[in-house]
Amino acid sequence: MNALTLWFHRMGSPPTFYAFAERWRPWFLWSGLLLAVFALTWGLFFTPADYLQGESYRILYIHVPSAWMGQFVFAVMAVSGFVALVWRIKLAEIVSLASAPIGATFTAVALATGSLWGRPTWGTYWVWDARLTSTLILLFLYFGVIGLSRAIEDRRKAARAAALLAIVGLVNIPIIQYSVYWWNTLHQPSSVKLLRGDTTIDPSMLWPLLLMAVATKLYYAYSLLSRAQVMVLEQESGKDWVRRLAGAPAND
Amino acid sequence: MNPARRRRIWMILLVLLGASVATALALTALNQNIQHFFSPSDIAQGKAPVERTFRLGGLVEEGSIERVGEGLTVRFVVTDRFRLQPAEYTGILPDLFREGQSVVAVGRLRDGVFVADEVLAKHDENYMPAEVADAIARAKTRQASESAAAGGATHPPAPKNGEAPSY
Amino acid sequence: MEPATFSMPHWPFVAASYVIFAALIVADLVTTATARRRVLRDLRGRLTRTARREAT
Repeated sequence: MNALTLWFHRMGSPPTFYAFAERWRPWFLWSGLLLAVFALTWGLFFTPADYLQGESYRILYIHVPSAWMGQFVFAVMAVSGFVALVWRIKLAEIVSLASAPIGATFTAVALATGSLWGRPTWGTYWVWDARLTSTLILLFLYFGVIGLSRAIEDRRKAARAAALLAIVGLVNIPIIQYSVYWWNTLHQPSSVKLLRGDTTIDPSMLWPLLLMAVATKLYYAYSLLSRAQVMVLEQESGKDWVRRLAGAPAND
Repeated sequence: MNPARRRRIWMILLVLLGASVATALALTALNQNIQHFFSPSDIAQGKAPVERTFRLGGLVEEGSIERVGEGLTVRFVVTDRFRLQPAEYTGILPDLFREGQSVVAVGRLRDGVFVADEVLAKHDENYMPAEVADAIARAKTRQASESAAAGGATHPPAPKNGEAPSY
Repeated sequence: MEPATFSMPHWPFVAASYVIFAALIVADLVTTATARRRVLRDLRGRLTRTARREAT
């Protein structure tokens, strides 16, 4: 057994996972927040204005990382949902369910800020083009996952049903990504193509964006660990280690 | 791997495959409706629903913007670098409406002229400070004048064969 | 002659975007920070009640 599988096995034990989350949660939170404040200050005050859009392009530093997170979190949700369905690992169920509200938040931010950018740039808050519509569908898929998990009484059945919806919803991710190439859309194609190396954002404007992409992922790690901790506590509420944690004497 | 898990993996992959095929078929069938706008070439090929209101998209041809009289009416030409489509609009245009920039206009054809009710500016994927944009523009002008001095052709570069025009 | 274009100040849109982002992150922070404390408090309450009932 290699070190990674061993680690996963250890994390399968609720008290070990809880202690791990307790230890790393603040680090993720503070590094994420500090990096975000640094990157956004840089983006707002220390980057040049765009030659065409002027100052409104600074919305990009919020909009693009949030849109990336909306899709990234959905992928995490679907993959952990897959693990939960096949191997019936409780922690995978928890990671899948705990991701949904965070992903929904980032998607909502992407839609709202995109709309605020669209008004001064395009001349409208909203159009029904393929990119905008598929992103709105992503938000509804998140709502579907959250709703489904709450509608079913049994916690573990709920997690599995929600996981299946997340896996089916995964079909939407390539549609969002390639909508701007497959169809005519008002939304422009991607600007940042790190793998292909032909990014069309000037280097003087690019760094805050990349730092924000890291900061939002750190924050996601914090929020995911916190939410997972709550779910672990609820799931294990009768156990001795939880009693001790809650400050009550152990039963034995 | 134990057989129950293997069966579950196959079931999930089957569900995912089914969902993908269904989505792909639906999107292919609705392809025309998902297109946000039609290009001048689409109009020339009869692909655009010219009998009703539709969206026209493309670049505003360089040097084509002209104001009609003292009012707010503006005439311009939309191009996809293959075909030209004259358009007309009365109203206030978005800030980014410029020659050489992309637009999406809602309206209908009247005697070969696209009469727009609404004009939206489309932004491309380029982000740069004004100094960089100026430097690129200067380099282009220099290149053009050099090739003109050398007796070379000065017409704008045609899109490469088989490559979609990038607007 | 240049055509008439609308020019609007951009800062309200930029400010609104940053405010929306900050507000939603703060909301998420408050949710995550209070949820764990609430669960532990509920748990403690339940345990004390059971202990008292057992004592009587």
